[in-house]
Amino acid sequence: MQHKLMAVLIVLFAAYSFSFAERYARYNYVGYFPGSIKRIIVMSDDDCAGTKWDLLDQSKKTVASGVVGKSVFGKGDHTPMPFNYEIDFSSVTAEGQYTFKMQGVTDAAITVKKNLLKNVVAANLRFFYTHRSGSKNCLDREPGHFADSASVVYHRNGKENTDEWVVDPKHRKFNLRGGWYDGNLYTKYTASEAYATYYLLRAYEIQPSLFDKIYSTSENIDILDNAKCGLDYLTKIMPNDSEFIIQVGGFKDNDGGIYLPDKDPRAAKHECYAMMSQPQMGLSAAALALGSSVFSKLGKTDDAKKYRQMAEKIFSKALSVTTPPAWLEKDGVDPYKDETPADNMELAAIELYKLTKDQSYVPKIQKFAKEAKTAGWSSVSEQNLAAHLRCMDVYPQAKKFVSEDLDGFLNTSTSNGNIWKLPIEYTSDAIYSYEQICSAVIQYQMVTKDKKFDRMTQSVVDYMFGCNNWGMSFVSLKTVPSSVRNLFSQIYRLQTRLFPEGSIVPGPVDKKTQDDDMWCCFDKTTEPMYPFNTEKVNFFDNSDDESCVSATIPGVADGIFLFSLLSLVQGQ
Amino acid sequence: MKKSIVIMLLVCATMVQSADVFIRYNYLGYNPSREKKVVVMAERNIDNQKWLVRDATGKIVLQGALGLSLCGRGDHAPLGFNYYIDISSLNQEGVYSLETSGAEKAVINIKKNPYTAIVEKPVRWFRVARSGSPDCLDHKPGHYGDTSCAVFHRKNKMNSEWTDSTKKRINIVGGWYDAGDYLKITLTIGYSDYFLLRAYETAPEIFAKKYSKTEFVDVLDEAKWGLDYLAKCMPDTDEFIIQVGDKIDHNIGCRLPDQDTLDGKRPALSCLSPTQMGYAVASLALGSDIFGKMGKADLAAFYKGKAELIYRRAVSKDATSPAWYSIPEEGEAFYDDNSKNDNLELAAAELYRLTKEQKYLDDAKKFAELARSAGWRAWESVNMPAHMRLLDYYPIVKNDIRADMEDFLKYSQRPGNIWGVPLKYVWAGLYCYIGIGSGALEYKQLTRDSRYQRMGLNMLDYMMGCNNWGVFFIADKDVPHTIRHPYSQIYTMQSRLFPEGAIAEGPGDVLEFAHDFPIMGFDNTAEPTYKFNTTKGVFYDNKKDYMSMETTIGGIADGIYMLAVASKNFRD
Repeated sequence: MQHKLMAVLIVLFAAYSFSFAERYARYNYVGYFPGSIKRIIVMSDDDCAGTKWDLLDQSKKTVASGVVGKSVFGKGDHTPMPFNYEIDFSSVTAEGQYTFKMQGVTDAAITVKKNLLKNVVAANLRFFYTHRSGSKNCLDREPGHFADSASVVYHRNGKENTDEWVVDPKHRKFNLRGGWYDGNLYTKYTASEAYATYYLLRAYEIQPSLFDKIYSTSENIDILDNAKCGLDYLTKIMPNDSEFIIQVGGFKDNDGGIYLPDKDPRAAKHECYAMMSQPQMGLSAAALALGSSVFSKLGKTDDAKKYRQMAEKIFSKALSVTTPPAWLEKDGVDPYKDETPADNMELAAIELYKLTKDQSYVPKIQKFAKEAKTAGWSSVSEQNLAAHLRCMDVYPQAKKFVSEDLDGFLNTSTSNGNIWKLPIEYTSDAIYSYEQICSAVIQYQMVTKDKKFDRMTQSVVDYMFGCNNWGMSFVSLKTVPSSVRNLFSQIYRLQTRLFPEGSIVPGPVDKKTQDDDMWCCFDKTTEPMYPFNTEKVNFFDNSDDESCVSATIPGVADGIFLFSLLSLVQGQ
Repeated sequence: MKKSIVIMLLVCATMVQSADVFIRYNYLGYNPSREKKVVVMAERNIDNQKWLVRDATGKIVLQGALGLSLCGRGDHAPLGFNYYIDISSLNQEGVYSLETSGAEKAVINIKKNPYTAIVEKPVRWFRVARSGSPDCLDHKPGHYGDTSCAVFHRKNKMNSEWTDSTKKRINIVGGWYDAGDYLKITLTIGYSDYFLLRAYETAPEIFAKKYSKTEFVDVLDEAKWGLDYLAKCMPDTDEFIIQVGDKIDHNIGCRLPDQDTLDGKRPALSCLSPTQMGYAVASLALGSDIFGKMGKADLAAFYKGKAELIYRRAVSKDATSPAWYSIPEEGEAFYDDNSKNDNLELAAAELYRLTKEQKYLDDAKKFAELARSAGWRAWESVNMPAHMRLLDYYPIVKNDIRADMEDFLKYSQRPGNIWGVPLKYVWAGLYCYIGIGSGALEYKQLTRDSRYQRMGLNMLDYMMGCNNWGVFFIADKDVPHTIRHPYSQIYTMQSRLFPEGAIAEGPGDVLEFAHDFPIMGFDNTAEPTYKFNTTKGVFYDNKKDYMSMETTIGGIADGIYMLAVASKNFRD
């Protein structure tokens, strides 16, 4: 009798304990390519080693099963809970819908599919339509900023990059209508315009069949329609031989409050800032050269000619620039500051070489590549990896720089406790850097057939789509319930009924930096993401959180490029 | 059976969803003897529609039909059809339900004094607003650095230029934060303290001891906290502190009081400014009287001494013109009260009531003659309260009271003004309305003339739910449709806390809202109150809306005083 009572008490205690245990399956909500590495991370506040798991197909038949092994790491910089398990089901390669089951864990719906990312990139391209400036073909709002067609010119005052630029003595105005807003602000940075355009073109070049025509009102599919939007804008940024526009709209864009584009009181007051600045010129020339190549192959000879002429003109002028790179800076804020032009110029030179086959570009490629070397990093301002990868057939020594950088990222991704295999430390715009690094890895592997980076790449892609501390897809997709939805965006903050489809957010940030930011005005402790933050990293899906959820066009373009590469190497 | 229950639930849900008739009434309830009027607003014509009232047993105790719509959509009426229901004949205490087709049932409380229970809540707010006190609520104490503040003086009598040329420092710890920021404004501390004391004097029986750690009930404990601060404002005969903190307070983001990096660096702005000094004197004199009657002779003598000293300096030749802190480049002036006569009349009247010295009565009369009527009632215009305080000793001021009241009454009776609001929509309009409302009730108590009583009761009802939005403007968890989201760092940073006792600034002018809306930056069209706004008046219970929801100590003191006056009204 005593034994029975004891048994009942034990069962009750176990049930009681279990009811308070929290276990979370973290996985890629969008799904996995048939041949890819597939894993689920289970985070738990109790030890669930030995617990059985099953993967069932739609007919409820078990296609994979196992028992949870030892916790791979405890609570740490990357892990909010004390027990963390890795479950591999890469053996499942048949396309289909599956259900992952494990005691104490909410069932996880797993997709395995060849053509996995077609809808994702369609959504990402939609984001570009929402950010079009001075265009009637925008989405989610009325068009605005047509007055950029007459932007008053400002020049840098000396060599210092401040916000105190001087108005043109003759109050000349240039037509800078078009392009995209960079992100939350209605400012247009040439670096970001050129960068985004370049990667849209690269994505199309890699995998044209991935893209459809959904929102385009031109004859072009969405990706080319948007690339053309960017290219046409870039043809305006050097209106004469002595002026190059690095930015339209300035710090005053930040000060006036929140508006929809058509209501922006700054719309008719956008300044354009002119300065011969190599980093922006390099990126612009690269985009225009690649645009010429792509549109030429499509038989658009007029467009191709126009883009080529502008690319050559900008690059040629950039070579003669002796002044330091330019950007606007105020109170320590310096969007798209880029002090190192060599990587951008290298990218421009290689694209012009690929377009023209003119051998005179080769020594320039080599010169700039040598100057650029490794960056230990990848962002809009550090295109070293991208440029080196692009020129490896012309300048094989560049491979050394690439592999050095990638090895560094691999080291970080395999460091103790980094269960998500993240390639760099937590920082701002982390997701965007991850995208670029993974794209570089895939390109590198395509050339070298080196597989050592496979796990890092797949883990980072999974991380973007939900396999992370927070179980949150950093790509906003209506079809994924746990998607980011509260963008730091004037357009979406003023229209909360709209879903920011296709946006990709910068994601998790260094905790200390964010905690010290007193403009992050909300109660972090009551946010649903809060329990999944660690001592090192924060993420909040809150429209007041500029650092985590302020999507930008370069970041979304990076995503499109990565997804096209993945589709090419894994989807076939 | 189950099916029919489901169908019934669906029907009910549909009915609630499709409600197009809205009953607006006082959620706390009505005294049995008073006039009781309920407003019905409808999106369609419901002329002559039946209504009925049931008692708690379900028995119909009153019924009737709506008449013809009083007015269509207009400045005060958001919907096209508007009706009154008079339920004054409900004069037995109890809980009733008022029903009419298309509307949710209204729960009507008939109770001798429905307002006593709630008054402790707005009194609690003062404890939340406490600066430099270990007895604060909802946050850790902060701003102990105010024990040594650098004293700043006006330069060339310019309100925009303050310098610390004397290098003097003073201890000005204590007081209350004014609103969503951490500034301490002597004008509003003096004003608030005065009306806390008046509320206690008017209806001491409604105040209890819940949070106080002293021998005093909460309201007196708070009043004493304020008085002790006001006494510090004149550390010597040549200094009077009108404000602690400056514009930097608004420019460094969100923080809790104990995390304020400005602590220890806040300036104390000093000026012999009669407006602030007048309120401080009125509070200290009334405080002396009240604490004296409680047998606290030392305290009474201290406050009296300070009151007389501050008054002497306020009317001395070297007292300046009214001063305040302003930032011209931002178009901002902090509590710019430029009319001193009402403030000094109140001060002199209270000093006369305390001391019975003829010189104070002479001064009070002199200032009353200068102040006359204001056409207004707010923190900077205490003409009516001052005149009422003097009425027994200088009956002629009744003319000025009547001049103001008649204007307010006339406005409240305009066609289409279904709520009977006494003023056009303005920033922090509710505070003006309840100031006028309490004045109207006080007038009846002083003169037995009830011609303005209805206006007073209307404003009581308006504060408690009988308004366009059906919003209870005092934060009280136990009341339906209460406000919940004050513009307050303390509650924004700790959203788990309910802002018990906050009183909203209430509806405001559409144009003023539109001017500041871009700075507030939220999707107003998604707010539940949106559909009840008119072309003139708007209200949003949104933490970013500093026009409707930045609760201030002055406004909360107005509300407490209104509750006291209303309680006295029904008690007598």
